[in-house]
Amino acid sequence: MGRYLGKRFIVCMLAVVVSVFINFALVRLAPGDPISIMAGIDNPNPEMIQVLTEKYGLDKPILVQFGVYLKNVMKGDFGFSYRNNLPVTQLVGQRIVPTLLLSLTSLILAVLLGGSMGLRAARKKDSIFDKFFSNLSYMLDAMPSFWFALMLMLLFATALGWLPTAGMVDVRAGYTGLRQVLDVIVHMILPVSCITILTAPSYYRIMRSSALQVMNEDFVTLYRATGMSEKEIFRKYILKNAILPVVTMLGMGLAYSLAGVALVEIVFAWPGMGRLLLDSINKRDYAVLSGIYLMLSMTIAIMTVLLDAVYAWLDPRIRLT
Amino acid sequence: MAVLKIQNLNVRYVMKERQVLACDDVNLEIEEQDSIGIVGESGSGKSTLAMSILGLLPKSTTQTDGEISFQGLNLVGLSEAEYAKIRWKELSAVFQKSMNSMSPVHKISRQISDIYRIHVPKATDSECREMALALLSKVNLPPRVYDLYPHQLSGGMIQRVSIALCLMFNPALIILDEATTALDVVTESQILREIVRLQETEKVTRMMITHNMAVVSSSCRKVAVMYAGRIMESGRTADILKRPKHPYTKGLMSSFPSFTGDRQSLRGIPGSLPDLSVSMPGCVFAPRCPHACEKCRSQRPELLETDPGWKVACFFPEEGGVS
Amino acid sequence: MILRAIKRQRAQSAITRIFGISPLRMGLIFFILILFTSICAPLLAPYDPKALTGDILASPGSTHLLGTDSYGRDLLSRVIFGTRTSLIIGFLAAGISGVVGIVIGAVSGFFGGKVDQILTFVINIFDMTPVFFLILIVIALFGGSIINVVIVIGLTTWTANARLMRAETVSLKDRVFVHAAETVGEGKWRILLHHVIPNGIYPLIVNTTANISAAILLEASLSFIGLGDANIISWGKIVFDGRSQLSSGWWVSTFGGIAIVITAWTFFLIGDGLNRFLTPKLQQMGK
Repeated sequence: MGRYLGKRFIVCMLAVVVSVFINFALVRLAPGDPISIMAGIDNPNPEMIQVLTEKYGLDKPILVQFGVYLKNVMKGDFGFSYRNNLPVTQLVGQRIVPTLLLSLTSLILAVLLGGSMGLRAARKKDSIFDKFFSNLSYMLDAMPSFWFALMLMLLFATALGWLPTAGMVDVRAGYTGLRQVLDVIVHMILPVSCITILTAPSYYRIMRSSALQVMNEDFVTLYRATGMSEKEIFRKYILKNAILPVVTMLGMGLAYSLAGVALVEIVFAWPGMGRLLLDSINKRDYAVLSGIYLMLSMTIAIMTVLLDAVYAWLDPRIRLT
Repeated sequence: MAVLKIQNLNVRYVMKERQVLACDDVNLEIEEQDSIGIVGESGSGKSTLAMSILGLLPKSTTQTDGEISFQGLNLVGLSEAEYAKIRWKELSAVFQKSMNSMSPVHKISRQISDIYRIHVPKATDSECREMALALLSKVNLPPRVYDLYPHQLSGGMIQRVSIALCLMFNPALIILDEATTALDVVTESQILREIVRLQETEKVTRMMITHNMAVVSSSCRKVAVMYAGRIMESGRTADILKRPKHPYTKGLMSSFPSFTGDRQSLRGIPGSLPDLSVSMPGCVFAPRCPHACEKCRSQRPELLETDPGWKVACFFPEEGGVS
Repeated sequence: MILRAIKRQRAQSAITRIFGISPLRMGLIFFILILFTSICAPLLAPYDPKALTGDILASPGSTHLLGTDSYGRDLLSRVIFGTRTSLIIGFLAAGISGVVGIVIGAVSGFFGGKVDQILTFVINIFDMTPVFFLILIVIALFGGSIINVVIVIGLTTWTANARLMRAETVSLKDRVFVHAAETVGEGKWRILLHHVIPNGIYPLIVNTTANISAAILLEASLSFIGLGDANIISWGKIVFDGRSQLSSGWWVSTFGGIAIVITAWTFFLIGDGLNRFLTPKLQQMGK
């Protein structure tokens, strides 16, 4: 198992290097000169030009520049935002907790919801439950995340007034302690529901097809012959066998779901990375954009390796070779 | 006393466009502690027969009528709840070894315990372990198998585990459906010897489903030959193998090379299985039978007893050796 | 017992008719409607989509069926003209993605060896990148004109196509007709172009419909963040515009988004239907 993970790790690290390279290349290929792009301002003053030239070795040959850039990234320097006068890592650091709060919660809920319903649909294949939710899953895929978020907000916050429209906390109330936690949770309901409902369908589909395949395996016949209840067969044996592709799917869906989270955050004015993204785009603060891109690349790479490790651990056929 | 008595069993697979009659008026009896082999080529209905006894046919697409009397209880139409009471306790099975004949992600210990707890729900972990180790030693498996995963065992070992599993509750009848088919010849004979030995010690009644006559000849006292869903001939193995009466059985026997006797060219049976979705008047083997005549094609031969315990479904059963 | 089985089958097919009537047919009907709308947009739209009628934020009514936005522009007309943008972007982007995917996948599968290893590696690495953010950066740097958007989306969504094409190529290259062509002396590239790709393209057709939906959704997302083409009417932009007037003018964002949903769903339906249609055919072809 060690060797298998080792190989995966190398591939992931290479992916990061490629991302760095893409970033590097884009800045130099884009219209406009690299310095203004990196400064994020249209007319950087001479001092700034000097600082940037030194930092990124812009007067040196291309390969050296790339080397410098790569070295910086490996050291953890993802760029400096001159507009905000902070290193990108710090900017992101300020916003990352709210984003993680949303994305992790939604991810867990989506997997649980989609997975359990997919399992049920497989068990009751071709029933109304199955057909209805399978069709629904396609329809949900067609929905833009930001529009769905707006609709949810329109219905539950604006029209019905049941839930707050924006933000993470009620700024005016200024709660503390337990009340603050409850306040955050209330504010989380709409964005989390939005993300969960939109990401659950893919887990539903993959669990369903995976479970259907497992149901045809010979050991299921064996357990039916022993008199084991269908419930137990599904809960213990089919679930654990069917869950492996879902883990793989988690890895592949990561890159995609991050985009959805960012958009939903923007709609709900959630103080997370989505907001930072929007601001940076509006101000053309390229350093932040590229910094976020690189950090995300690294995160995905690390998570992919982690998920591979989880998969290898779950499947004894891989773990014990 | 008959442990299993099958009477006029018909099993139909119902599909959108057509129906396939997989078992056609099957009559069979198995005495206590006896061993019977059901032999037939692919598509003969032998696996369907096994599945119908075990109650594992998909309810939505199959229809069964007739009677399967197991220890006095009619299994046809039995509710799942009633079936669950006898499953594994009175009636168990060993299936063909395949990639996933046991769950690949659960340990052997876990799977054995889970099956044990179906009927003994309050068993403690140590009780399960004790029982499992005793079972494993019954089939001559070392105790270390207990903590392994299925993929870490060889084919023969997996089948031994399966056999041990089926004996867990000392059932009255065990069905082995192609249990040795996927094994290499050496392992196959080892497993067959185990099975025969276990039958002596455990005093179970055994039904073996196979396409391989050699398996039957080496391990079953009785045999029933199936073709296209019907029983062609049934009786004692020793009798039938030496002097088969039904033309189909004869054809089967001559398909197998013999170590002794004159050198003969190998002969198969010309023709192929009939379409089971179309009902045929007359003997179902008639199209391929070298001796078929008008009567064979128009009337259906019943399974009749020619000698005590020896039944043949043919109008012209022949004595004598393989032709 | 026969009666029960037959009854069940009848009930199931009735439900199929209600719930999942030939998705392909439904999708095609919608598609034709959308296509018609985009072609005849000037004829169908009641107003000039860019015209500022005096009616600011009018709610849906008889004069403006879907209402107007904060500039007084008729929403229905804007939505109608938006179909053009979406279809162009969808088809062009999916087309580019398809071509890139086919080339990479076919070359990778056909030539095998080192070429295959390298290209598969590239595919795997590309799959791990946060594509959406990459697109953001490119658009932020190079500008959000419709050409840029189409090219960027096309160049970043090809991996699924490449994988499918590669799998098909690998299984096809051992088939008799390919060997026959080789024996006759046809060049490798010719074989690839004339034999392998046309025969292996079926799963890609299905995937391309999904790509069209994805492209439309992506463009909508880009417009929503403000990165789209400012001169073109796009549904994403409509939703973006309507965002600030959610409470006073809910119809703007709502109807803009509904158009997106219906269109994306249409292509999913077509893809799903094609999938079901092609699969038995593929089985017949002996795959």
